[in-house]
Amino acid sequence: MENELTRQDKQRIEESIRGKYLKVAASPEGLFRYPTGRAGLEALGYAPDMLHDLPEPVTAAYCGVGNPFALGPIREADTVLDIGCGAGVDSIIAAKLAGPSGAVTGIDLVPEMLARASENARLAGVDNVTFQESSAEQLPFPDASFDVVISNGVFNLVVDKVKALGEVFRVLKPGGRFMLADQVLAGELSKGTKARVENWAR
Amino acid sequence: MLEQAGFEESELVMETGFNSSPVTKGVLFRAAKPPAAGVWERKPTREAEMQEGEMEYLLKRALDLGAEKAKIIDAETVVVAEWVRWKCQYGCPLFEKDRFHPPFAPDAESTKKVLKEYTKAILLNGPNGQTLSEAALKLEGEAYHRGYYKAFALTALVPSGGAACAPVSSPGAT
Repeated sequence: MENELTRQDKQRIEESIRGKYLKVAASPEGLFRYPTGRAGLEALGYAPDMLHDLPEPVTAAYCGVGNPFALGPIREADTVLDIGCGAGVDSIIAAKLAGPSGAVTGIDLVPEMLARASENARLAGVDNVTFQESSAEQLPFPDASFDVVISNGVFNLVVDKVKALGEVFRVLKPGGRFMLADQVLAGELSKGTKARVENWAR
Repeated sequence: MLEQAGFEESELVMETGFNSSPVTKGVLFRAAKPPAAGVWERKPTREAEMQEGEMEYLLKRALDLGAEKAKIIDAETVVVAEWVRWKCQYGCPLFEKDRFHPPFAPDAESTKKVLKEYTKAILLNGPNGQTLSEAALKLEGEAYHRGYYKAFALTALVPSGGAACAPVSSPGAT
């Protein structure tokens, strides 16, 4: 399917993603079909000990679709990459789990989300997490950089998923783990490329 | 697609219930990059991890939650015998009372089969069956949230009047 998209299609998709998440950076409330903020975190089963010391503005920014931490532990001193970190809630939780000897990097396409993530990290008092602008399709990291890669509700938006998964594989250390929460297609695709492009980030 | 990228052990673990549109559904996937022997230190296997920090944490939590003793055991050491069912069937006031007791509780054969799907269990011990059951249930939830999604509490017998049948220990399998 991705091969049918032109460069212009991809640009329109990225613009629509940036447009939507520019609004989400202000507040995700009312922009999704599922609960966001603390209600979303609790409904998805994030452990209470992960949430109890997160300030309200941090939890309010959450808009994930699943709990990647239910898929395996983040160990002390782990290096973790959060692809599509958004407002940084999962990155901050991973940073707390990895501890001061660990390090977390969050990447996102949208500068406003990254600014919100940095502010959230400051509010949460974690200093072992950094955020930078990057596409999932071209990760700016050397091979074998991370013990764990997490992602939450982002790969469904990536245009070239095969390429992005190849990048995840490349930057993971041998034996590293990929813990993914996302959306998968469970019905019919929109008919025609134009409709698919328009519906991509909805 | 994950295998195409080179991943091993890729697994669709569960649906999250958070669906962003009528034609999509939220899911959890996990996958691992194969270790390269001799180049990188191999990551511990899931079973090895269970014997390390995570399980130690769960043991500590078991005590915090009210168990007097907690110990990691091999699931294969749990004895399942038919005679227990007979003892409950003839003489136990809780027979046919609820789903925790015969004939509604799982039989010995299915219990054996399920236990074979686990490698480790946590054995809880204490004098109060209700406290143990509550501890086991909370521990099941905490283990799940720490990645042991198969965690399942086999609880002590807690309904009122169950003293005659109440075991003193409650294994919470992980």
